[in-house]
Amino acid sequence: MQNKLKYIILLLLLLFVFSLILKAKNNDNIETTDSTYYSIAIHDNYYEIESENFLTELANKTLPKNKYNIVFIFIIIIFIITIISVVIFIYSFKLFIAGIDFRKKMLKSDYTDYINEYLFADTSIDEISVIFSNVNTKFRKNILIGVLIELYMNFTGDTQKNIQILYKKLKLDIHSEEKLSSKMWNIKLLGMKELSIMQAKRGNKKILKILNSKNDILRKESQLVLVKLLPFVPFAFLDALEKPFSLWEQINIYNLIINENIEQPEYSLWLNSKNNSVVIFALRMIMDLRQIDSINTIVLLLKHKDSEVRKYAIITLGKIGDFSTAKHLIKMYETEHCIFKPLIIKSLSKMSEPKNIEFFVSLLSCNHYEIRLQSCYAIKNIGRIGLVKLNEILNIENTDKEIKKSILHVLDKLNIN
Amino acid sequence: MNETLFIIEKIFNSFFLIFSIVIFLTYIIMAIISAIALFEYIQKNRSVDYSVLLSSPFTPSISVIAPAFNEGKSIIENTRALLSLYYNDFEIIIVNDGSTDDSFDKIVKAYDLIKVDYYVNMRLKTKNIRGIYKSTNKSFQKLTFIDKENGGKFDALNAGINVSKNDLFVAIDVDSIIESDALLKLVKPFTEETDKKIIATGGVIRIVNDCEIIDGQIVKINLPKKIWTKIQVLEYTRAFLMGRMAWSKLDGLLLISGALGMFNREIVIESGGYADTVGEDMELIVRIRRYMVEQNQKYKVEYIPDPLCWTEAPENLKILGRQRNRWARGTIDTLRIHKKIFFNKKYGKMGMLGYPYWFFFEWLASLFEALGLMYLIVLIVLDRVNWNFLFLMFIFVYSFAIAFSSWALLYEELTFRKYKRKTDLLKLYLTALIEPIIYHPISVFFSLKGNIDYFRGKTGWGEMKKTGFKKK
Repeated sequence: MQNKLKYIILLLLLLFVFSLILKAKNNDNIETTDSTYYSIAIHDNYYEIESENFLTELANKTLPKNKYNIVFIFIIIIFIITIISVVIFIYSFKLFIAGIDFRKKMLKSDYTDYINEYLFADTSIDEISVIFSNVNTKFRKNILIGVLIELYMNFTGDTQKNIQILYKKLKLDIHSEEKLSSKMWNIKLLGMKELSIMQAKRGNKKILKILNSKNDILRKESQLVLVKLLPFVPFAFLDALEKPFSLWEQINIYNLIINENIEQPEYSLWLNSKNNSVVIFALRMIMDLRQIDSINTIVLLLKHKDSEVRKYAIITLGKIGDFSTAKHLIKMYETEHCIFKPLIIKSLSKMSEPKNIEFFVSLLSCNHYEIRLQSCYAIKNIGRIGLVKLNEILNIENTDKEIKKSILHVLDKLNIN
Repeated sequence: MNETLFIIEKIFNSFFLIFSIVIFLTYIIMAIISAIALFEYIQKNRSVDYSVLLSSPFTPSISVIAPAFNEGKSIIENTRALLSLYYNDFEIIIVNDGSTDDSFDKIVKAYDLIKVDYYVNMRLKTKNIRGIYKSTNKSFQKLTFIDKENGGKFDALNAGINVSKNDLFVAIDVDSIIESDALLKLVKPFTEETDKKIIATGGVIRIVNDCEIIDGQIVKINLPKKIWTKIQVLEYTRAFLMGRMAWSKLDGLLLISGALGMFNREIVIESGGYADTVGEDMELIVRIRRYMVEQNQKYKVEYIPDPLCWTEAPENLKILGRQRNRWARGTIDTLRIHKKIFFNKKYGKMGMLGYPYWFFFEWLASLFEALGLMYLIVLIVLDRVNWNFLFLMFIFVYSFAIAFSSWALLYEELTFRKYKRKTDLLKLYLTALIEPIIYHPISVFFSLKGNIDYFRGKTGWGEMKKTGFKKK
């Protein structure tokens, strides 16, 4: 490859030299170049511009007559300026950031020392308020809030309460609340986070309005804040939610509930919500917490119009594993779409009911891979009787090869369903 | 006669001029769009806590599929790196695509693998699977090893998809280094979907040459020392931070790199899986997008500008040539297979923007460039060149190329800043100065050769010999 490349470069060089020779010859023959027109130029639009400056002079004298030359020269200058200014910008930006970081670091260190004196030495809240009275710019206030939040996260009990008191005494909660009115969504987000961590409820009304914001990040954050800041009705936001409750939002709420030890409600309250994503969240939570009392309502959801809701109803019933729901699932099996059939069998298999064995055996002859495999698992899950049955089918000579493969797959202990 | 020549010349001149202006304008627009998209992404994800995905039972399960062919030297270490990715519920499927080296023996021994009775659902046709292996050691419970006859990367991926159990799968190159939080970042868009179905996500691929690696993880990022790899760093930065970011914002992204991408398994199977082409990564994206349009389903292909995967770039011209040749053939093949969507309103932005862009600027541009160079030689030979004007044009193109690269470097500096040393930026700038003169013509040549090879019917990948990572 490299050799070929060398040859091509050599050929180009030869052509170049040849062209120079030809040019030299031509120059001997042609007395004037004025009559020669040139390529790689647009030949029309002869123009006459008085040489006002160096650039136009350059364009007029050295280039073929073309009104676009000057434009090209200007664009080139712009490109060169861009290149140089980007380098300068990057390096000055780096310096600027380093400067800001240094200032932040210094202020942070000072503020941490003062607050530690207030928390663990004799400095009173009034004294500390006087010290912090010079914190009057947004920059300084934000750093102070940052320090308070950092300390708040690292302590518990009375120390945490004292930090909260200081946060309010310095009227930083007002500063955080003001952020909720900002036009910039990232500032709003910051405000919500600050209020939420410092447990300040003064912005709740504004946050409620953000709950149905078009911005999914603000929506998610408002849900988290409301769960945290509405102690008696932490899940009221689920009633007010009009937008789809995405899985990402659900995961964040779940994480908050677990980490903050928030008391869990009966999630069946939302099984009839008009917002299908809220219903799915409720089903997921019921599944996780095994709220058995919700079974009857879940069974009704097997007839829900939305296929995703039906899907999660099937999975939830399987996870709860109550025998009484098996008949509903078997009934549903006949009418449900092929995609959900393996899911129904999987849920039924978790109920391990011996009386369903014949139902599962009847499904083995089905052409659908997943249905066959899940039926084998379902038979196996029944226990000893199931295992005997599988081996019995396996040992019958006429048994279909595909069924045998499914059984062998299921009987291999390393294959996990 | 002279008159005719003059007209032909004029047509050629105008064509090259207009084409160049259009391509420059397109690049400038893309640079602006990608700046907006990058800013939005950084703002949106600045405070995201990905760890919530680790502890939640709601997090989707994932199958990671890694095809391997003659990877005996690194397969054990790379598999270990995959097993230690941050995620709570995932399976790793290594597909041995008929390796002729000791990969099979090594992995079976290292991970206590035994053959299992596995009944594969052959929804996608593949070459014969000789066996499926699982570990008797509970620590490696997540690992599945497929041993199959050689059928190429696409075939290995299809076999992996057949065996995978989860709704989402990740296709990776086993010799790439995946950032430990890559799965978390790739899965997030899938968890955010509401009205539009997310069908695929992909991230930025970076160059690993000369970085320091311990146990399959990068411990120190260094700028490559060799000039060819340094140029590729610049090229990747431009392509991933500007090109793909802009196309993602425009919803016209046609390529997720084969080194790392997450997909909706059912959609991929329904649309026919990976195809037998050297550009199987691009072809798949075009096909699944096409499938969604034909099914009248709303969808989105999401792109994450975070560096999620590090791959070894060719260090010499020979290997680089093979790679670019293959890329060119892959592009042409994909464009040929899906020619139906070319300026077809039915396919929306993909048909009206994405496909034409690839057609004109990713495929034909290099051909036009080669044609332009040849045309220039003819003009030089015929002595029909104004050297001053030619020089002006050269400076114009050259300064644009550097300005464009400097924008890419600016984006990198303002966002991820992976190269921390002060001199790195200067080195990249110097690289940008020489790239248009030295590298670009060579790259055009490789692309041209790829075109010739494609129309001659060449189909193979060509040997991609790698030098291996620098291990600490």
